Amino acid sequence: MRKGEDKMKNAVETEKTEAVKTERDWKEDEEPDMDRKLEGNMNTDLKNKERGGETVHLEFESYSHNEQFARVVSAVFAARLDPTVEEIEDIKTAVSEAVTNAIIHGYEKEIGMVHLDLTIAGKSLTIVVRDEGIGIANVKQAMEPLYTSKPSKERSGMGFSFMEAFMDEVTVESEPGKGTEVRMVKRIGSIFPL
Amino acid sequence: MENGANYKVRGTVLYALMPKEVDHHSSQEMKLGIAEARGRRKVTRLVFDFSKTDFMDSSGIGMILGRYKEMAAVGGEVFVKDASPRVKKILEMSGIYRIIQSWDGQNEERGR
Repeated sequence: MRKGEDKMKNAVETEKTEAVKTERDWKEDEEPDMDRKLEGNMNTDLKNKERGGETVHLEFESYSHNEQFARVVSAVFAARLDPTVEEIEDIKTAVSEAVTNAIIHGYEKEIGMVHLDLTIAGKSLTIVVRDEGIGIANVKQAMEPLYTSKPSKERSGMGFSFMEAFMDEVTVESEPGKGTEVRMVKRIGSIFPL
Repeated sequence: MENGANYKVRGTVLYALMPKEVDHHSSQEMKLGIAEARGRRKVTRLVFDFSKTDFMDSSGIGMILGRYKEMAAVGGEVFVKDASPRVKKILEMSGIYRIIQSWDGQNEERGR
């Protein structure tokens, strides 16, 4: 706890220094109470972090080039928890698997919206990938290693296995005709311990 | 091409230079690209060159398996070259090393 607080203070000092630098760079058109404004914003940020939550919600169309987009956004958001390179790679792989499933299984040939929710609480990153596609009738079977509903599509059947291998928790809820929600949790060595 | 794959044929060896990121999106393109590069040529060995790749997921595994089946059907072989530790980990987890070999250390002359 102590260590986390210290780091938080350091972060505040750094941000203050950065703020001052930025202000100097502008030189002209300064607002007189800029310092106070910046400090106010920082306090709000810290309060959010102390409450233990930061969330990002994204919606994107189920085009396959958005798989990369989802991975990159997740990696950048996860970087706030100061993860190792390996943890980042694990997150990118898991997100890629879940989003690919939504695109090729959930929506098949249609273009629909894929929802990506990222939440940081304490040391944990929670990733929820949701679609309003065809859904999965038998979730247990879908999660079996090497099972694929599309053998002709060159699917390896390893998507869920990879998600489970790289994340600490994976739960899947699905209803045929309604859609699928994959919830994954990754616990990371955090600078804000619980 | 920033994230695109490249192909070249030397003798009966087809080299596929894998893109920076091998996912469902780029795998779809690679399937077509490899088919085009093979054309009507006699290819006995297919080498997946991962020297530029830093990301791969299970879609890449599916694509490699698909190419393996095509090559096996004509008595050909499939190899993996210069995989990064991360790509190696994904390949190992998939168990694909049981059917494809590592090109590293292979005598390239053999393929000519």
